[in-house]
Parts: sequence; structure tokens; C-alpha cells
Amino acid sequence: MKIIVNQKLLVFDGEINLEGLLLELSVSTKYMAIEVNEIIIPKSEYARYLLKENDIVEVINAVGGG
Amino acid sequence: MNKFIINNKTYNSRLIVGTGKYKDFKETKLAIEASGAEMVTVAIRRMNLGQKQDSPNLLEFIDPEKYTILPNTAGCYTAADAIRTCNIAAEILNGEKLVKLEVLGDEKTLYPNTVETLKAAEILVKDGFKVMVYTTDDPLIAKELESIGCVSVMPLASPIGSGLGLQNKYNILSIVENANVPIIVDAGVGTASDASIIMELGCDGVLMNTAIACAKNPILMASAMRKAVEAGYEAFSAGRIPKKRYASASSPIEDNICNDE
Repeated sequence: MKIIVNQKLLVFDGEINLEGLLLELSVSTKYMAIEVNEIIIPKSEYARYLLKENDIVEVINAVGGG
Repeated sequence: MNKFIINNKTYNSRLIVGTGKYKDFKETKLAIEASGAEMVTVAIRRMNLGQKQDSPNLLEFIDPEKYTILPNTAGCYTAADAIRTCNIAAEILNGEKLVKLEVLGDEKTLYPNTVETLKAAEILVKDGFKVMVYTTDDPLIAKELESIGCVSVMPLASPIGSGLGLQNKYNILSIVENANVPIIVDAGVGTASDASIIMELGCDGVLMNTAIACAKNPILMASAMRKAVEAGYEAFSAGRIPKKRYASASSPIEDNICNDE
């Protein structure tokens, strides 16, 4: 299954949910947010949110800024 | 002296600082400590999903338990993009809805697009956000943003990162005189005296980033800015003397042994 994560193409064998994706990317859920196809997915739904072919995922955090 | 209250929280420091353009997170942390700021701005961006996933997160250095984190909408040129960014920021910060709204007009000047800013502010306020809004130094727009329900109006001193200091002090004065929400001058400060001049006008606070982060010694400049903001505010509160064209002697005129008449 192909999905786009932060503008990069990732390919997975079989199904993957958001929790699995973050595990795969070694990303902690502290102080971050995820959008799938421009819709924010609350952290409480990561474990049951199954990604679909061609989903566009954005993993977002706070960085230095003024 | 008045208390500095934003979104029902009282702050001792009237200086708000950004976290951009520093060499590293360590320098960011040291500069913020030296500035005495209790509220710091951050930007919202895609996470770097490179090789080093153990690379630290900014909010591990700038503890949200200790500082009020003010996420900005920097880089947004439409109301829709700014609103999307604010919603993401609230998700990142576990539901906190205090935001710095900035909708920009063009890359060269980074001047605020007030039409889009007004649109975004209206929607964000309705959605329960506590909006601190970056805007032009136009007194009518500032008042309109207050009427919409923004918790603070933040006119520029001069363009972001320009270091030109306060360019239109009479507009800022008009904004301050008409305001019922804190007025925080955001952007354009170059050095300590710029911050003092802003505070001496009666502004409630100053927000800056580049002036500290890009100084040769950011930590020392952060300390200078802390003092400048405090000095300017104390001078405003103390009430300055009126300006006169001619001298007024500080020493007694009478009983001068060198000038007996």
C-alpha cells in the first residue's frame, strides 16, 4: 500500500494504522499532530485509524519561529 | 502600575520572544532565560522525518509547563491556511487555543494582509481561539480586530526582521489610546532603545525574535531587551517631563557665591 507521508512516498505490505505508522517512523506522540488528507486526526484515534491507498499524511510539530 | 494580563493569565514580563533563527536549541533556551520572557512563540511545520529520529523536539527544551507557548501562523498568506494552522497548533498543544494570528501579504515585506487577517480572526474567535493578532499600525484595523474579540492586538513597529525600530509612533500612540485590550508591538525592533521607545508610549508589551537571535551575542542582547522593556515601562508609568525648548536649571539660582547681584 502506498501512502505519502510528509511529501515522501512510503510503501507498506498490508494494512497499517496511524499508531503503526508512527512506530515505523520512531515518532513520539508528544507535542505533535497528524493530518490525513487535510483533516486532523485526534491522538485518541491513532490506534483505530486505518490508512488507505494514496492517503496524504502530514506529521506536524512546533519548530523555532517568531 | 497595571498588570499585564493575556487570556486571564498575569505575566511579570512584558517581553514576548520568538524561538526562530537561533544556532541551536541550547542557545534558544539560554536566550529565553536571559530575556525573562514567560511567553514564547513557535512556528508550526512538518516534522523532519529524516534518519535521526532521536533529534530533540523544540518543546523538550522550551517546557510548555514553564512557558506559555504561543504558536504562530507564520508563512500563511490566506485566512484558510492560517485557520488550518491554528487547528493543528491546538492539537499539538493538547487543546490550548491561544494563538498568534499572522496572515502575510507578500514575501518581500511580510506586511500583514489585513483583509485576510480580519476574515481569519472572525472565524477563529467564533471557534473559541484566543487570538493575539499581528497587524499593521492602522488604528482603525486595530480597533476592528479588538471588536471582533481578539485578546491582544499586535501592530508592527516596522517590517519583520528589519531592525528599523518604531517607524510610526503616532499611529501606535493612537492605537494604544483607543484600546481596551493589551497592545503589543510585534516586529521591527533592532536594539534595546527601540523596545524602550515602544514601552514609553504606553504599549503593554513587545514581541521580538530577530533582534535577539541574530545579535552577535544573542544571550547578552536578550538581557539588554529585558532591561529595555522594563525601563521603558517604568518610565511610562512614572510619567515623563514635558519637552521644552529652553533650559531649566537643576541647581538653585539663588545664593550663588559667584553671581552676587
